[in-house]
Amino acid sequence: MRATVNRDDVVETAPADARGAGLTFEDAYRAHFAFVWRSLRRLGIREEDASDAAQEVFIVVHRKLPEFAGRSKLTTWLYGVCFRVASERRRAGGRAPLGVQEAEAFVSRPADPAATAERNQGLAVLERILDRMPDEQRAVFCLFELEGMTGDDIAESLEIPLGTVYSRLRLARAVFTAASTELAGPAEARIQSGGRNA
Amino acid sequence: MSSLKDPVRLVVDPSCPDGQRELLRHGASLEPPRDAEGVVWQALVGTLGAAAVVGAADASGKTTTPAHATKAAGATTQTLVAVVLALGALAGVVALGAHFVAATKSPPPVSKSPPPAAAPQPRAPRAPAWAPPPEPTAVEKSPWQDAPTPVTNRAQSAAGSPRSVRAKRQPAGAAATPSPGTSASDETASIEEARLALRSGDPIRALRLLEECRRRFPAGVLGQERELLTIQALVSAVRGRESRERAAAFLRKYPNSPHAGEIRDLGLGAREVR
Repeated sequence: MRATVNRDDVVETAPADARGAGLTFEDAYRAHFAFVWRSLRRLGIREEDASDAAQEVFIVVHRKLPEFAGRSKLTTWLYGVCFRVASERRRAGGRAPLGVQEAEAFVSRPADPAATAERNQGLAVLERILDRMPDEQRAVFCLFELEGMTGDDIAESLEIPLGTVYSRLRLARAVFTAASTELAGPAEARIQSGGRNA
Repeated sequence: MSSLKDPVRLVVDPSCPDGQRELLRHGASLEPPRDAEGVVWQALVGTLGAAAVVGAADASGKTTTPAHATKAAGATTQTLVAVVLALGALAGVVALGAHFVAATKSPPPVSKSPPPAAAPQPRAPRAPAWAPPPEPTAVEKSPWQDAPTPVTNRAQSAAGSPRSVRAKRQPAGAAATPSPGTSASDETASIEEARLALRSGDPIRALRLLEECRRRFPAGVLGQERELLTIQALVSAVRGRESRERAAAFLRKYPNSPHAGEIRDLGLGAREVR
C-alpha cells in the first residue's frame, strides 16, 4: 500500500522515531504542507507571506525532524513550529488588520463564481474575526474549531495545560460570537446585493 | 488520544447560529494555492540543497521528487502505450501508434522495484517533480519554475531569511490558444504533451494542456487516458478533493476500464471526499 497524503496517516502509524519509521523530510513535507500553510494563514500570516513563512517552518522541520520523538502526532509538533514562526514574523513586521478588500483576496481560485464569492466572503469575515483574538486564543480556537484537534493535542502542541486550552477556547469563542454578529451581517448583505465592497 | 472533556465543536453544535457555523465551515475549507507546495519545495531545495532535502536515498536516484508527483506520471506509460497501440491497430493508424510509443518510451524508468509502504518508490523516470523540467519546451513558464533554485548557505538557521518564495499565480486564461486540430494524432500528441509536462514535474501545466485537449476533442478516442492523466495531475498538484471526486466519477463511469486498477492504486477511493 502506498503512502497517502492524508494529514495524519503517516504520523499516527509512526513509532517513536519518525525518521526511523521511514518518515523522511519529503514525507513530512508532502503530508503536511497544506496543514502548515493553513496554520500559518490562520495565525495571521498573509497569503503573500505564507509561502516564505512555510519555508521557514520546513527549514526548522528539516533541522529538527531527526529529533522528533514521536510521542505526539507530527501535526501537533508542526503547529508548535508554525506558532513560533508566525509569532516571530509578526513581532518583526507587525500585523496590520486586514482591510475588507485585502481580506476578500484571502483565497482566490477559479470556481463557480457565486460559490467562490460566498466562500471568499466567509473566509474574509472569519479572518477579521480571528484578527480580534489575542494570538494565544486564536491558536487554540483555530486548532479546535477549524482543524479539529483535541484539547489534549492542543495542550501538547502549545505546551500549555489542558485547563488553559479550555479557558482560552472559552474566551476565543466569546470573541467569535460577538465579532461574527457584528461582521457577518454586513458581509451577507454585500453578497446578496451582488457587491463585494459596499 | 481524544479528551473526554472537550466541548462540542461549534460547527456541529446545533445551538450555534447557522451563520457562525457557516463561517467555521468556510474557515475549515482553507487550502493553499495550487502552486504553493511546489514553489516552496523548490525554494527549499535551493536553500538547503537537493541532497539535504531529499535525503541519502538520492544515491539510487530515488527521490528528487515527492513520490506521488511522479508515480502517477510514470504509471501512464504502459497503459497509454497499450491503448494507443490497440487503437492504432483498429483504426489502421500505424503511424500514430508508432509516434506515441516512441514518445512514451523515452526516457525509460530507472527503477522497477516495488514501492515500500511508507515511502513509495516512484515508477517514473527521475525528472524532478518540483524542479524545472530539463528541457524548456513549455509554451509558457510554469509558476513552479520561477522559484529560485541555486544552493545557498545550508547552515542558514530557521530564524534566518530563507529565499523568498512568493507564490506566482497562474495567469488567468494563459493557456495556449487551441488549434483547430481534430485528428486522432493531434489528440494523441496533445495528451502526450500533457503527460510529459506531468512527468517533468509541472502538473499545473499538464492540467492546462489536458483542459485544452478536452475542449479540442470533446468526443476524442482517448477520453479515458485524458481523464486518468487529469486525476494524476490533480494528485501531483495536491488538489486532493478534486482528485478524489474525479477518481470516483471515473470509476463510476468506467468501472471496467483498464485504468480502473491504476486509479484505485492511487488510494483516492478509500478517502473521504470532503
